[in-house]
Amino acid sequence: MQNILFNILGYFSSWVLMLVTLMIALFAESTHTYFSGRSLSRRGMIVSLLPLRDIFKSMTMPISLPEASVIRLSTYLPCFALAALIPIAASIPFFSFLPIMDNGGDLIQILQFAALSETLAILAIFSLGTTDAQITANRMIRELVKLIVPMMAAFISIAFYYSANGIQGDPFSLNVFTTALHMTPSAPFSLAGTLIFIFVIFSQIPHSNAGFGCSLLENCELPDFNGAPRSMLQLWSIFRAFLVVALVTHIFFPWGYFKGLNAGFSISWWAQSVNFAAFWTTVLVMRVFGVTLCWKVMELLEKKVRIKNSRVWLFIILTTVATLLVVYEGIKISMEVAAF
Amino acid sequence: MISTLETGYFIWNLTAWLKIYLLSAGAFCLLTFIIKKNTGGSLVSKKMMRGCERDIDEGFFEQIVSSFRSRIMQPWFDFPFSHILSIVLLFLLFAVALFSKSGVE
Repeated sequence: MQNILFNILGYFSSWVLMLVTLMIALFAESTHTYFSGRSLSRRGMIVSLLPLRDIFKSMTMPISLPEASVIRLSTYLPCFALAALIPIAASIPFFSFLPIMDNGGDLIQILQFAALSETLAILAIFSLGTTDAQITANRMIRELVKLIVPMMAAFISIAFYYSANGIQGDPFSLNVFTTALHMTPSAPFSLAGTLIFIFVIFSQIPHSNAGFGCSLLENCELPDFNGAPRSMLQLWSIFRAFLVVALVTHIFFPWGYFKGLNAGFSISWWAQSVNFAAFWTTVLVMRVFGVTLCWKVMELLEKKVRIKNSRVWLFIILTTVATLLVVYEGIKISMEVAAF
Repeated sequence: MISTLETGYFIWNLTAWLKIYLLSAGAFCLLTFIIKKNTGGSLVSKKMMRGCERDIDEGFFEQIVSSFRSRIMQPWFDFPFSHILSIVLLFLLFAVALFSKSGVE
């Protein structure tokens, strides 16, 4: 009985500590907003430097919903949407020092939970029942398709490449990606395809063009919807963007270099600490600078390509090219193996 | 009950994922429920958005919760560096748990 109690207590404390990643996400978001706020204020635009403080402040305000809303769904669905992101985070290696499930989760299962989380968030907005809410929900559906399609294409084509390479077991496991075979210069097509995938996914992370970062709702958007559910959805949006960055960083992180570096350490937790710090620092830097750079480059490309719906066409063309490059590398390896 | 679904192509640890999801959903719903209880009804008109007072008499427990919120929590929220200090505090908690090694399965 005492053991069960201690196990439950230990499990719960580990769960609380998993929220550290949520804090890193919030820290990255506030850093990004700080920089974008500085550049926008130089151009005469006023941007709140502490959007996170607004999010936490609205938690203590009375819940406000439009008259037409389905009250219980609008209040509690954001909680379920945010909760569906936690298992995804828990499956990313180095999510915390205290794994409460096997690290190296399966990418298909990760995408299933991502789709579940998005669906619940979209339903929460639909349940508000106003025309404005419907417009926001429709925008969220478009953003979901633009984000999840290149992610699926990337994961499936890289998994195909590993299958062709003769990897035993689950090719969709995140642990397989740590072998980093798809990023070696000896596989140039796969390397080029993966880099294009990284660019496409980062540039499609939903964000505000007005300098509000990855918050789902801007200050003037859906003013009838306020209080804790709104804050939950804002946190959900920031955390989702951060998890996408973490998952994609996992694809190109130089695991081999850090494994070699850690071989010199005699105490395992030192090696773990170095890996933990290196991985999350990379994610933080990618979120603050890498993602912003991809947004800017995509905007420039969009202006250069002067056709109707240039953003959509660029998205389709780049995703297709990246998929073909990685798959071609896989087919090439299969043919070499067959010839041998 | 099947706890792990395993084929040649994927391994899904269903129980572990479900446990984390349900625990997280329960915790977030409880948090929202407590906020809803303490800050008023779930459908509030725009005029009552800020600093509204409720006419309903509060019970003994609600009075304690409300005074805890206004006297202890509110100054913390109003403090300009509360978010940074909260992050530092949670990192300390993280460090303590790391060295005590609790909760590892």
